[in-house]
Amino acid sequence: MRKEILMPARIYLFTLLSIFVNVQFVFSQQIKSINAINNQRNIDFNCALQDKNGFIWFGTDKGLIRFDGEKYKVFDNVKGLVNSPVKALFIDKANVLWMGHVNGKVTLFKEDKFIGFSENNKLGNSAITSFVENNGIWIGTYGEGVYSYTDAKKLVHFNMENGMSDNAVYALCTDKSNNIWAATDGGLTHFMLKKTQVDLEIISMKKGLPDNIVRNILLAKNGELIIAMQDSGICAYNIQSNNFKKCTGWKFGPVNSIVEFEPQVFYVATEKNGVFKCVTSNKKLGAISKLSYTETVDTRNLNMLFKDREDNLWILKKSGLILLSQSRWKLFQAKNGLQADTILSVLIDSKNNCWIGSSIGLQVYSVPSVYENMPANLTLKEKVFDKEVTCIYEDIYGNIWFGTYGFGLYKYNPATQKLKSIPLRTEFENDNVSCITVDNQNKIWVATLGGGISVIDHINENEVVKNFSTNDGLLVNYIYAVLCDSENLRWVGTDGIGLVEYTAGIFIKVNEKNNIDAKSVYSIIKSKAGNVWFNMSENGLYLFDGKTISNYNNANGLSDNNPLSIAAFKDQVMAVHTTGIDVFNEKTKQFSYFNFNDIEVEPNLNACYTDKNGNVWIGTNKGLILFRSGEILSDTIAPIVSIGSMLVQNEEYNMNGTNSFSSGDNNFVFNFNAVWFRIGEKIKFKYKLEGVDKSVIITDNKSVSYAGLQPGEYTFYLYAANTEGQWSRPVIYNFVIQKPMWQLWWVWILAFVVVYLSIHFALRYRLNLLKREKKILAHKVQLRTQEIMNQSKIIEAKNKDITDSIEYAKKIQDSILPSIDSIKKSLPESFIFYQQKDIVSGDFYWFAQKQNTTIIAAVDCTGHGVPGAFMSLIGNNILNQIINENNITDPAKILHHLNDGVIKALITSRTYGAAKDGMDIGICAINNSSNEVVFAGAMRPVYVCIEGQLKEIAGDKVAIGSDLSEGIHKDFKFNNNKIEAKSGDVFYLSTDGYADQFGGEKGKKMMKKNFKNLLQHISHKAMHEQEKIVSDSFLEWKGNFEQVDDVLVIGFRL
Amino acid sequence: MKQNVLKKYQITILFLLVPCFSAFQSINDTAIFRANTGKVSFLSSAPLEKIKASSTKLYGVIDPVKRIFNFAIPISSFDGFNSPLQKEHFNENYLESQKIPKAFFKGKIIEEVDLSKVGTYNVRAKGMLNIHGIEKEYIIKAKIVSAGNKINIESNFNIILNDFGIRIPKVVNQKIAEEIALTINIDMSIKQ
Repeated sequence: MRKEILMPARIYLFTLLSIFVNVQFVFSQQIKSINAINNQRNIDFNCALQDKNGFIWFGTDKGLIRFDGEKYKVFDNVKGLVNSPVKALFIDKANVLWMGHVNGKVTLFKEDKFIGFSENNKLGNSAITSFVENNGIWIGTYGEGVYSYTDAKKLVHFNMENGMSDNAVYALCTDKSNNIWAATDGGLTHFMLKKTQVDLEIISMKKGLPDNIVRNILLAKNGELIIAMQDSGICAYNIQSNNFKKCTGWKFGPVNSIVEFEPQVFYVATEKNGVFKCVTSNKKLGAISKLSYTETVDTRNLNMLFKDREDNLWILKKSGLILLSQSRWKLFQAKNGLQADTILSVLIDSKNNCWIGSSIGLQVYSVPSVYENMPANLTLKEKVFDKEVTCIYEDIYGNIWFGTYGFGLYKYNPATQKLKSIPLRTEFENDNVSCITVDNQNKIWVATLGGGISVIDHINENEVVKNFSTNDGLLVNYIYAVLCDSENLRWVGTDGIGLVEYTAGIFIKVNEKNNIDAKSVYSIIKSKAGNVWFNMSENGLYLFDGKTISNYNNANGLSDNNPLSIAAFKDQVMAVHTTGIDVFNEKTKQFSYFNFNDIEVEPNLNACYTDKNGNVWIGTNKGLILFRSGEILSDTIAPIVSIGSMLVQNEEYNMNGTNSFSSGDNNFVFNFNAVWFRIGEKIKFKYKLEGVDKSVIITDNKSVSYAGLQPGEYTFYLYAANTEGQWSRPVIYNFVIQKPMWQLWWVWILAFVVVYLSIHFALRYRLNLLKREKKILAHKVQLRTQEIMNQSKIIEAKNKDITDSIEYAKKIQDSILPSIDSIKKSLPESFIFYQQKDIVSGDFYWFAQKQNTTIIAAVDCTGHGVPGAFMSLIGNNILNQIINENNITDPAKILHHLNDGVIKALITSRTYGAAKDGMDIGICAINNSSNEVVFAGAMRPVYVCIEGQLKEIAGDKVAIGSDLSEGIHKDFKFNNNKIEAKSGDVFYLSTDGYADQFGGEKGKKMMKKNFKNLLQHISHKAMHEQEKIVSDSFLEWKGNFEQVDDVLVIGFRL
Repeated sequence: MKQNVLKKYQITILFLLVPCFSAFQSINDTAIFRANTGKVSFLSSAPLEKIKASSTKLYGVIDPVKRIFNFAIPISSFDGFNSPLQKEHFNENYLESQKIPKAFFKGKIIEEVDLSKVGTYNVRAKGMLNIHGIEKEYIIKAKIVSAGNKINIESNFNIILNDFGIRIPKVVNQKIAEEIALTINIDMSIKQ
């Protein structure tokens, strides 16, 4: 019984002791990316979480910080938080970020806005310490118990008064049964959620809890509760069995935080003693070991541990932040047990001893046989040699062969500890050994710097089988590397000649054969795929597949063109350079990159060894690097990529808004964001804008711009890859650039319809308007027609009256005209052609026989028609008065009196002289006895044809009706023209109507000349013939023209 | 009839219970430990000087049922410094006892112990330690030896002067330690 009790105690004692033995994990410090935050201010980091975009949110005493691996942003009460110090963070199922503050209040970050929790006024003043979600949000406080904010938006308060173990709550968690657990100063409070109520159970020291002060609680993946305590370390609690797996002997002080790194492996942060790793098993808590990281890091005052999605460990402290990334490499230096930092060669022998050739000799170290974790130190077992050892080789018998710089080749038997110098016996006696290898006939090939190659028998090591130098066909004696492959080919890395192949006794220049510049080849390896890889100075990595040589350099994936050592394991070819290792996967043809963080080393020539587990041991000028290549790509996690921002027309666009853009918004810039905390600055991006880019574009740039995109639908794909070649899932953004209006088919149709309808309606309107106007017009026409008809009737009536009057006036006028018969009595040979324009005439002829004198006159009154007729009446009347009543026969006097008479007659009815009313007259007084003819004319001549010659005797140039009392005609007297005529002479008196008539072929006036010609022409004819000719000629001349004036021609023959 | 009998029983039980509640209440009132003598010593172990001082004026109470406590001590009651001037500096320059005359420790005993039962208990007292007017949460381990109605409390713990805003001038850096060791010994008894 006593023994049974003692046994667990021994286990715990062993556990405790192991703390001081196994103290190294696979972490290395990766502080660079968080210096941005740490350097800014002395921030107290309280809590952290990672959102779905990969951003890490920190709750700090200065506020909320969002960190994307490169940039950080601080949100405090000025930017909307209820209170700046944030003690607890939580993201609920609705993606709302909950922040618990020191003052007991809560802020929510919802839809990019900070808002105060609606129930803040019901919460107390004790600091919020934690949140969990289960049928609502549970809020733990440090002093006032727990609040449950149910889905029904009801706030329920739990504290000691209703069954809690204590009001000081450090943390909350939900178990697999969806019950809530609170870590308090009085142990655990178990909130058992029933349908209608919550039952509380206290798990304290009375029930086996090691410590009542429970500072943190975590639900492990196996369903156990991992409990962090004040003085008892951690324990695991099985809820079903009520069993505790305890950790006795804990003396590292309060544990503030726990994180489960992998199933049953936990890291715990202590308040004063740093971070510890703890492994649980089904029965007990297993080994506990302290996490070791750079010693300069202050390991006190740790608030929280946080594991991100990349398995980085974040240590939140009271004054800063530490990010620890899992690392594949470790640098061993003097402080890790190495005897010297300049390591020239490495070998892990078949007994798992680590042989290290350094600047101070050859040492043997013990190495843990299982590389579950990076060993912290290499333990020195033996010093074998004390000169520079440049290469090491183990033969099939376990003998260690090593080459030196200046001291030749040695063979060491570890069993007997016998060391033997092997003379190379080359003709150059060169002791600078650069490389040792063995062929498939167990011959040792030893390359030297200057002495060519020596081949030594494996058994009889004193026998040099063959020397190769320039004398033996070797192209150069300065050899960096030699490799004998499984196909019994020998590959030689030379100084300046490039790669040389030795086959069938001939050295072949591989470079020359493949037309590649020959430089120094430092290392040669053969990969699993059978390719020979070699590195050539400053030209990157070369692959020779037996036929052609391919080069890998900066342009096609290699991060550094100057790899100094190369190694191979399975499908991977590793090139080591000063800042890291490029790993080329021969299957995927992809490069991965692992950097040495900020450490810059210089790998030494051929100081690279790959052990059976894929661990690559690299000798450098700063120590020995151990690189784990075995798990590459099996545990890498791709970055989370997002479109950080999008600019449209150079203005930032909210991508939550519409993704439909007008045709003018066609210049886009996408800024990339990828979260990968390990080596964030080495992230590569891959993108394609479907519809523009023909293929996917890989870039280091963090943005791409597209200008002048055509209307259409676009899909933007963005990927990001970490340095290990893991590409993220794409982030996809669809957007549409609308066609301009004029390119839209429906706009065309609409426009057509609108135009058509516009024209249609315009026409219809116009038609209607015309119809209406036509109707109005028709109506108006009808009215006007009616009016005109009425007027016409009136005019017709009036016209009839006038015509009747004029007809009657004609009768009157005709009655005053002397009869032709009476004229014929006095002038038997005479004619009168009298054709008035209208019914009545302004022309008239006057005749009188006074004793022996015959007076005849042709008078043309002003105007024609009725006015002329009236004037003719006046003239006739006055002539009657002058001649018939007053017996005046002298033509001049007659005209003088006629002028007076007309003036007198007209002066009573108008202003005298205002119009030229009057008459033209030609008057002849014929003395019947003497045939003397006296002519007087007012504006009219008389044509006299004497002896066949027509002569014009002009009248005075003053018309009847002219004012002779003043003006230009003052005191004018009409003149008589006495013509001594003979019998047979013919006289013609006329008015101007005949000569002024338009007609003839050209529609012109006849003119006086033609009239006179006519008279000349007919003067010899009988008077009745003359009358006819005058009449016919006039009608012929007039033709269809209108008669323009009254026409009067009087002809008489003496 | 049956109902009447039940009513009688109910009334009887009620009368029987009333004295019980009263008794519980009186025990609760009286079961408070009060300090008879309380001694607090401190030791500053600096490279150039060790300073010791102590006071016997610590007083306070513990409610053993609720496991809550409240203690106080007048700062000026500390004696035993290496010199009178040192005590003067202690009171006037560092602890400013005239302005802040007392230090307090108020909180609760974490362990679920019944101090009315005879025995020795190792407990932790968690509470707010108020020195120099500045309050800080402390968890102090203590050993309590109970004789039923009397208890003795012993505790040793350290405090950091900086936590309480007590600044040590650089000149005396080597003479005054940043961390001070405190020793407490209190005898308490239940007093009516």
